[in-house]
Amino acid sequence: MDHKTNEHSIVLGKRIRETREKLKISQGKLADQIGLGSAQIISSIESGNREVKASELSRIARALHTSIDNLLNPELRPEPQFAWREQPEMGFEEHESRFLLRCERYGLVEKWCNIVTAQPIPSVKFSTSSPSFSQVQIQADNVRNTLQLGGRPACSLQKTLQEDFGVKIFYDDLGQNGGSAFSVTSWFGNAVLLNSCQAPWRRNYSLAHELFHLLTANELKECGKEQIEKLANVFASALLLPSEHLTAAVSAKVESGKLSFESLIEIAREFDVSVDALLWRLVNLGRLESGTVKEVLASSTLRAIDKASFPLWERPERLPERYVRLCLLAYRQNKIGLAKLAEFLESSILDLADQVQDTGAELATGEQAEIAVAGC
Amino acid sequence: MNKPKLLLLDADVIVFAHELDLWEKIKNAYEVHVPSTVVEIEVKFFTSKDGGRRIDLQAEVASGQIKRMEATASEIAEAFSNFEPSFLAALHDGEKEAIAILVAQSSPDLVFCTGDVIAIQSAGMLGLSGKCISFEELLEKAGLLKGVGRLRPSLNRVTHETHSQKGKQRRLTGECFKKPLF
Repeated sequence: MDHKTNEHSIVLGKRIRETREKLKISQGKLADQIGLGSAQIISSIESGNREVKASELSRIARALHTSIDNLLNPELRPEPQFAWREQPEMGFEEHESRFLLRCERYGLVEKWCNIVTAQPIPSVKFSTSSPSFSQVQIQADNVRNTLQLGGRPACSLQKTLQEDFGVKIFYDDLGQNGGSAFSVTSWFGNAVLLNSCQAPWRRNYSLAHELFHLLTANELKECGKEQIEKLANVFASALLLPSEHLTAAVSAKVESGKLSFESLIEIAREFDVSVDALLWRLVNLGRLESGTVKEVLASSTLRAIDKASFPLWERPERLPERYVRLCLLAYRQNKIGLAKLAEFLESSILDLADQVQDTGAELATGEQAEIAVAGC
Repeated sequence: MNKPKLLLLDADVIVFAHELDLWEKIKNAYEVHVPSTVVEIEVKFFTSKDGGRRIDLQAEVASGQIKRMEATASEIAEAFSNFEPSFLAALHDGEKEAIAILVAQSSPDLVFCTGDVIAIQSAGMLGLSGKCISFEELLEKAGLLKGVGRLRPSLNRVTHETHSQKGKQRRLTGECFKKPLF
């Protein structure tokens, strides 16, 4: 190896080792995944003693959920901090890396398409570094009004965060007991990962919870992690179940001072939250006693009615619709080619070629595809 | 008899050549070379749902119908060391390898054919426009253009020339480079 090649090999080897160790993948496992025979070869690569071929590099990048650019670039970006809600004990590193790669791609596509997020996400300021639950509820009301989420916030929260504030929202299969969500802020902006295994109403709650973390990223320095999680839950509850609208919905269904389980569950579906979240919010609003709620939640009748009321729901697509739209826009605007489009849409170039042909997504260079708009 | 040109093909061109049912004819007309990343990862194996189209580049390499070319990671790093990272990110791994092969000049007669405008621009930015041709030109030179019909815009000569010029211009202005070349 000449001096320059040796220099590149050392940088690359170091980066591969760092990325592999972060993912807690052994050298042997990586070697198996990319078909390189033995851990010894990975060891040689990581110590800069063996030149890496292009196809090997591409395979290594895929196995480590990163890009060859990230591996070859000697300038490291600062590692973002992930704020998990119910972090699983094992295997979270892979979800984080895959999510980060998707977010980086999303950020690149926005850049290529010259998308400037119209509004920064509103920050939340507290008068104290350790706010009370009621202060958090007031902030939840403010945020709901600023975001114009209306009386049924869960119905529009996701769309509003994505389209108006550029928050990147992805889904991944975190398993039934594999944690519910996490959020992160980095050069690509704010991003949230939700568990695709959860029902939509649980995902809504998780999103609202993660929103609190994004809004208070540099606040709450004196709060412990546990307290911050409690505050995030209070925020999510108050955000998704506005007192005025919830009170009206409950009052309309109360008969002789009582609320049937069916009505309770209907209200939960109406607001797109879980029945648990609804009941605790009613406690919080002083409409129910916590002892009563504990009894109700332990009731097999309630659970049976709740289960029977589940509408059929499908798992969400792993890539957000806005991201897919921007990828296709980048392709149409000649910012990326078909192979890159396939990579970013996590598809194969062969499948995509047919789809692009069918949808007519490719425009001729210089083709007029725009109209003038007054006042802009 | 030696075939007229050494041709390095990108993934998208290989797919389109199969779509147009021209793959066998191109292989007959040219000595086809394919970057290792394209052979082993990007267009590894494919059979269309109706069974009409089938791609197995590794089998074609094994039988000597096409040749596999390989760059090293260092050659890729070196070739694009001055590219602005967000521009470089738009290039696919196979395209990066193909251009790194051109930069390394292992075969001076090699000509690169791609339908990816970013790859065309990149070749121009690296002063390699003369070694890059459009799919339309590839077909024309082999007498295969007749009856093909209207090609996708990214495959035609006009688009190729437009983006080739764009790359040359960037080479002069320094746009999309970390540091200007001149």
